[in-house]
Amino acid sequence: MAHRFHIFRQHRVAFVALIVIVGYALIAVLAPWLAPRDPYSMSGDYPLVAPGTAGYWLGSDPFGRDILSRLMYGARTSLMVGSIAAGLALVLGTIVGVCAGYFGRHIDAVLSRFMEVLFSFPDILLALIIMAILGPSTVNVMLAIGVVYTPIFARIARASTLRVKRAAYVEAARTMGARTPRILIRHILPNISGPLMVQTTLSFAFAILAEAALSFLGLGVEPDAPSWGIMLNEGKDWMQHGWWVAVFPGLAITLAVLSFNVLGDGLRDLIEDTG
Amino acid sequence: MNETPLIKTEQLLKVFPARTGDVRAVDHVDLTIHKGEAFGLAGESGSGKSTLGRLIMGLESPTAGTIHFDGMDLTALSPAALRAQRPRFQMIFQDVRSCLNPRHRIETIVSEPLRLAGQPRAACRKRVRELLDHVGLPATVARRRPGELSGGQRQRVGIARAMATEPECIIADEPVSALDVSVQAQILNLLRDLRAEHNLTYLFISHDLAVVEYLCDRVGIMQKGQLVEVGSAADIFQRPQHPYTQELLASVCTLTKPGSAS
Amino acid sequence: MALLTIDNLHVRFRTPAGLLHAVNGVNLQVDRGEIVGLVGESGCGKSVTARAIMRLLPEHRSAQVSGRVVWRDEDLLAKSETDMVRLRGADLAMIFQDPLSALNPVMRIGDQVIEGPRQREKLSRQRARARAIEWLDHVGIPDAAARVDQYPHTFSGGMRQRVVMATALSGSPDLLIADEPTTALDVTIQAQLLERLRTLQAETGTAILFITHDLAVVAQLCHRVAVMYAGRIVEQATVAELFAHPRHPYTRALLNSTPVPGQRERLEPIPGAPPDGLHPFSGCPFADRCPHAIPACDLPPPLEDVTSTHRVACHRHEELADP
Repeated sequence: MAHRFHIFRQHRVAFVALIVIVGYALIAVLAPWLAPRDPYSMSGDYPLVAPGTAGYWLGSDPFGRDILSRLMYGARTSLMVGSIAAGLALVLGTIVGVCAGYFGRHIDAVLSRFMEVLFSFPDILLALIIMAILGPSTVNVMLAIGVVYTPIFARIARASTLRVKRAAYVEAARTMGARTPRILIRHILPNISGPLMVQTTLSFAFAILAEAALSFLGLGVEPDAPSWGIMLNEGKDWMQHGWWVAVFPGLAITLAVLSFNVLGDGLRDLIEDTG
Repeated sequence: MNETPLIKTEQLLKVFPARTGDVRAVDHVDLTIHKGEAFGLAGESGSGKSTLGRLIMGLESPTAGTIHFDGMDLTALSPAALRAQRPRFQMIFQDVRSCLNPRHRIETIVSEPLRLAGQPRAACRKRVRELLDHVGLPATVARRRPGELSGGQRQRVGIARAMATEPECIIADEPVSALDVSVQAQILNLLRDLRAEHNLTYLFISHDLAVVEYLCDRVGIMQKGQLVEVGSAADIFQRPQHPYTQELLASVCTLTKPGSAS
Repeated sequence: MALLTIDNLHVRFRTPAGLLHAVNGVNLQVDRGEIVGLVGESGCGKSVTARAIMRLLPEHRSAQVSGRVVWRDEDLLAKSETDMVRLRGADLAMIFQDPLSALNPVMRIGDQVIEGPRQREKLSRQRARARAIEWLDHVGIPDAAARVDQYPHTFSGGMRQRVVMATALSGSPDLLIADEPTTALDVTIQAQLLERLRTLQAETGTAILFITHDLAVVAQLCHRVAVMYAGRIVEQATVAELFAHPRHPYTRALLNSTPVPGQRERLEPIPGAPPDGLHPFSGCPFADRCPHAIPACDLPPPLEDVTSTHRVACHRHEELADP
């Protein structure tokens, strides 16, 4: 453990990224207490107030809503969508990939073809199709993004399973009379978890971007909800009059996505270093 | 040693499909291993000796033929009935790097066959200590993971795991070929001692003829899937009949130790 | 006369677990035209020594190399990479354990065999091809003229190692360093390859430093042998002397733990494990596993002459000699 920590310290950038993500998570959880104002309450007296004036640290939007408070609540939306979508993709993808890799033959053929079909759609197009069918809502956004990223997890899980199932400890378990579910859960899953964790972290970044993109296009979460994507959408029309309306949510998205990507790369190095 | 067969294969055939034509990895092999004997299976890579061991362990299913263990046809048993027999024959592997799950503690690894046989956790813990001691490992090893052990120690753990259910028969597939000579000698002596104490039957698979001669009573030589010669160790090594056995023996680099007559 | 003289070679690696002492003061000489075996167990530093001679260690990253490797009055360790590139292949060649990764899978074997000389001597296409066929024939590839245009995957493991041998010898090097070249091969193939190597060596006079863990192979192939333990040479002698009168307790223990044909009496393994190189020691590295250790073994034993061709690093080698 001390050794692992040593390696992690070598990847200082990844460590900084982790701190940023923890910061985002704390803000998301504590938003009701941290936010200076109600993110929904409009004030006709203070539309498009510049940052730093009249108690609006990051300014207000055209409806007089506090940008900082909306960003804080937006972190909730982004992280919730990110974690549930990435989690859904992880669970679905792992089940599909492990089954395809371990059982092989017909099961592999059917599952792999299906995943390839999903894979061949451009990410956002597939999400748009799913959203168009299901209708815009926060739950549907999570479902859509989760389904879109399932094939990546399935592919990684399948490749790792193919490698691990040939290991002598899996054969040893078979010779001892272990049943298939036990082998999958106790011997295969723990040994393929590394690359899946890396992909989960990276998918977090993708999911945050995808949520923002869908919301920006008006196919995401409910229009009234504070979401970075919706804020960006609303802000784009006001760039000349109030740059802050679009720039701050844009920065929030960029920093979050960058942090998850850097952390994912750091985790990958960590796993490769320790074997 | 009596002459009761413990393992008996009849016309055992295993064909692997390949692009260049089917490969008969094991080609109609009739092999009998008696209770209490150490049977050595020697041959070069691709001779089918490992596949034969894997067929007996049920890691591969035969294309044709039968495998009898203590009178039961293993190929005809239901999965549940086969599982019930599993504790009676166990396997030791060549690859000491991958034969133990890197995520588990040694305690978990050695107790796995016991847990599978339905023993309670507390009894397992005590038995693990006994087993580790039996194979010459300190009890502190129980809390460690495979990555922290040397190759020789890992193979000892592999042996402890195989011995956990007090099997009658152990199939060892090249158990010492990944080890350095000084460590190899420790493991060979351990295997000898365990056999004497527990009246074990061995199927010992190795490419190293000197190692087979050191450990085994009877020897079979495999070439291209076929069992070309079977006999007592003395017969095979001193009076080889088959031309391939003769070639194999002539190819071995010999070493004369100081003091030994040469 | 000495072709290669290794003088007080040390190699250390920086690892996350600390400084690893892989080679701790190796002195060794290889003369023109002789086959020297460098034998020891895994981790004893024999392969690292070979790579240090060839300058193949990651010297700019984790490896620290010191001492001298004198090749014809010049210190190889002081040479630039450009000079080494010129020396490798032409004067010094090396072959490795794994014949598969030593060959480029998308290049015809003939081109690989003659790649070195072709670059240096500017051979014409036809001349190069003829030389390649000649060398493939030398190393015992049947029907060399037909196989010269084929790719590595059509060759078996033993045949690939022959191709690798041809690749290394085609530049007519003065020294061939062979790192466990037969370890991955079956015994019958190994026997053929060793036979071929011996014949070629007698014909060409190339000196060979043969690195192996297998004492029996040394006994069969080599003229002289050096036994390594924990990064040091503990004993060196002619093959006849070493196997008839081993002096170092480690050499003896190694012989006693190796099963030989006809052996049924109990082997005597060496207790314990070799030092891991992370904890440097001052005395005899074998002392903690040695049945003959005495307090004096806390001091480093010098490599002393037993005869003019037999040297051993043990404080008690005279007392422990055969009667």
